[in-house]
Amino acid sequence: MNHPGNESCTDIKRQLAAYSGGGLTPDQRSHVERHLAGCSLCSSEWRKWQHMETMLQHFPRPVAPRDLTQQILQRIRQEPRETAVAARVLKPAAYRGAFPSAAISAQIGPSAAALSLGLVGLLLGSVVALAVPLLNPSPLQLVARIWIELFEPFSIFAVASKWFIALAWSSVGGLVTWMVARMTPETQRMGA
Amino acid sequence: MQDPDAALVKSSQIGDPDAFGALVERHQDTVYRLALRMLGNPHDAADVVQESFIKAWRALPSFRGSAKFSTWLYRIAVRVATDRLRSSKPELLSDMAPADGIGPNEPAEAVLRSESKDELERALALLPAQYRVVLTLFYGEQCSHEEISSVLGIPVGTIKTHLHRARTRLKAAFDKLGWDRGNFR
Repeated sequence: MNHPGNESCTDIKRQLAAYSGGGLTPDQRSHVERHLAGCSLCSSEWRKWQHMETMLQHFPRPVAPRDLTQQILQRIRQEPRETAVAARVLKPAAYRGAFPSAAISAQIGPSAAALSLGLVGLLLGSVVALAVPLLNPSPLQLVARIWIELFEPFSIFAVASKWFIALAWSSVGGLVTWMVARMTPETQRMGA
Repeated sequence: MQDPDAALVKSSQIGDPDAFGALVERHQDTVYRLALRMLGNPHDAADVVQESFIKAWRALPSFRGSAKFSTWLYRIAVRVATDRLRSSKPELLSDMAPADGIGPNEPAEAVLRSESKDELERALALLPAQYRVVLTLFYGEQCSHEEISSVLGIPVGTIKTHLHRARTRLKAAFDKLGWDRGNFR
């Protein structure tokens, strides 16, 4: 067994993995090569690395069972799927998973907008009705009166109670939306 | 670079099952090999292939093409296989069905290659799943460090470290299995 210089075989063996994977600098490589040229023990070890690398180059590539494609297609045909555009509208949580808050906003957006419009209308109607004496109603006052008669008792307490009920329903809606978003399958949020 | 699957992905996104079928044909073997390396059982691997493609089909409308379709799909497969791995004890790879059909009339070189593959399978079975997957993607699927990084969601530097460790562990596995009793002395 020949050991060139004071080089330690243990150190060289430690470097063989990196040497095999091309991870050494040119200086380190030539250092290892000089040692291998003069050390039968380490060169024997190096031949094992080379043999392993050759085997890895012919890495086994088993193939999937041939009937798998048909099984998969059969399953996806059983579940009708909406188009991409429709899906984005119908299932925002599935398509904006990286931004769950945006998904939730998209789900509750239309409901929130409708609720807001209704509440604004209610507020305006109440203000006009409270502020204007209705002895000689102008057309505007008449409209306000009809609005109030139809939608709201002439009472500030009733208005407040309606606001409270609207707020409560809004909270329930938000909670349900949040739960639906939470239950959306994880892989549906894998948009790359 | 243009994703070679782009046209099929586009058709699949609007619900064309035939286009998706072509994608399945194109990628099912790779997904199968990934699952097989992770789980070590052909039946579980086939299940993972099915589940991965079903999930991909459902989530496809969200695919925006910022990564290659194959990378995105393999990422799904790795997650599905990881979930399965967590819920069951992996069997040894030596229980796997024969990888390639080497028949009695195959030339001697093919038989020798088959023996070499068996040897590699046994050594791979001694490695942790994470190293088997890295080696499968690098050597089996010819993926770059960057692609492996994208599939596994691990930095490129860590992938290189994993590969280095995987090779070292594989060499130790070969030593353990006694290959140095062969022609290496």
